[in-house]
Amino acid sequence: MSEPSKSRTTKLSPLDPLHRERGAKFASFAGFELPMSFDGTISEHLATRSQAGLFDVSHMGIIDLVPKSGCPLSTVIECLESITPASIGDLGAGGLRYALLTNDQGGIVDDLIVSRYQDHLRLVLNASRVEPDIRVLEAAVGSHAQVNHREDLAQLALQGPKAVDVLSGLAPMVANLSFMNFGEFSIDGIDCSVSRSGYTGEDGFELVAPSINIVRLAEKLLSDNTVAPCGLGARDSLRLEAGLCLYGHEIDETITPIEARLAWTIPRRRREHPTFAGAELIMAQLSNGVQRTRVGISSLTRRPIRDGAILRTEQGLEIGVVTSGGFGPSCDAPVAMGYAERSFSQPETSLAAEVRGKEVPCRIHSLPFIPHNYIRN
Amino acid sequence: MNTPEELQYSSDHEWVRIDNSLVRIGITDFAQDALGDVVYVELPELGLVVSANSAFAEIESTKSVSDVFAPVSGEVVEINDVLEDRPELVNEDPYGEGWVCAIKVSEESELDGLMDAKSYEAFVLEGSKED
Repeated sequence: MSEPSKSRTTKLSPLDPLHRERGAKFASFAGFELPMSFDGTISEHLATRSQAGLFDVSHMGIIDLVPKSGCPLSTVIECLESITPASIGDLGAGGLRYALLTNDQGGIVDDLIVSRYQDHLRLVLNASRVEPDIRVLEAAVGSHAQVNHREDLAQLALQGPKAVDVLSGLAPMVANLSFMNFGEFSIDGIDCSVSRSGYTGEDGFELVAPSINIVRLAEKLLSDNTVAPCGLGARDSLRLEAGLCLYGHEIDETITPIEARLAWTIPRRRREHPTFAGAELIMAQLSNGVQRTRVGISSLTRRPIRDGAILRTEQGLEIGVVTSGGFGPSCDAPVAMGYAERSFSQPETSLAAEVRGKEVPCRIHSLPFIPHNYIRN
Repeated sequence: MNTPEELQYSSDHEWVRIDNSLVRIGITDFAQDALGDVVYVELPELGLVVSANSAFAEIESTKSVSDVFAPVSGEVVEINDVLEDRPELVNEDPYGEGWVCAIKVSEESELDGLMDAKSYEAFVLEGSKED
């Protein structure tokens, strides 16, 4: 029951004083001490699906790739495309793209969001992956661009169907943004990059602002009583129901984009000229298929099936493993994701998950569990 | 923290309501708050014979799974099967509708090892100082 003792290297969000004032319960995540919950994970989750939730995502890494003098941005983009199968070259200014960094074995180094500014690129990536990402970015683009880790910036996510009403009350033009686009806005006098994006499956926005202004920005957003402060617990159950991957769970350096069912991040142009790291294996898997694939799993009982549970056929043959799992408040049932051998990956396939020595009957479920509600203007 | 005077408490954060040789047990308000939203309760089987301090039930919250330890030795004679469909009662009413089970005590002397409300509150306070 006791909390693990704080390590001396634990980092705090610039919003930490606000979280404490609001009575958050904390957890350690990727070297940060962050709020696990405020009012309770389930109520925060449901508030986000029905109204709006505010999440502190300041732990996420923000890296700007700024062309060195005399170097065109197109060269930087070309270099970046050597370590991602995503298409960055056709991304217009003001556009966002979900991209995977790959290694030479076709494994996933990280998943991230690339924002295309007029004169540079911004990458928002996983807190736990900042160091390996900087290494591969320096190697791939370092001779053409500065790789700037922007620790002076902080980030909030305002998610849910009412997020647009709340934010457009402060900056009316944000309502015109389409899903996966961003712009620069002044919110209560604070300069922010606002993107229509998120990690919940709902409509919503992500706001990047100077750390020194982030408490004021959060307080402004929370002063609207439709906005609930939310912790990492709700963030995890929301993304799980939305079928979104979490690095270190569904994806890592040993899992390929094809196995992770993220082949949609590789457009035709990149398939026709596969110049990215790991292309040999990834292209072969695109042609020939994969042995194992990411699946959704629903429990036939109320007992949650969690990370690490072995998946077996009804005859007891081991065919996969659970990578994330928990209670899905909007499903009012346990939900999980994991990997299963291809022949057992069809929806409705009956399986059993081994949870602490007990067999829990379960089924492969199509992803997402809850349909996405993105707004494409 | 709500700590009813009439109950006894274990160092594993269970409460015990003594009614002759029968004890009704659940988890304390402090425990339910620390666990967070309860989403599943694995109840013991009726008739199970348990020894004091052994794990005999599980309470699972959105963030973790915790064992429930038998505060005394005996036989499980009642279970609160309402929790199968409404595990949230453990959060909403930990000392009432959120009770877990009743045990017929086999070693009454073990009851002497439990804490009263005042000692339990002091015990919790001491624990939180160590963090």
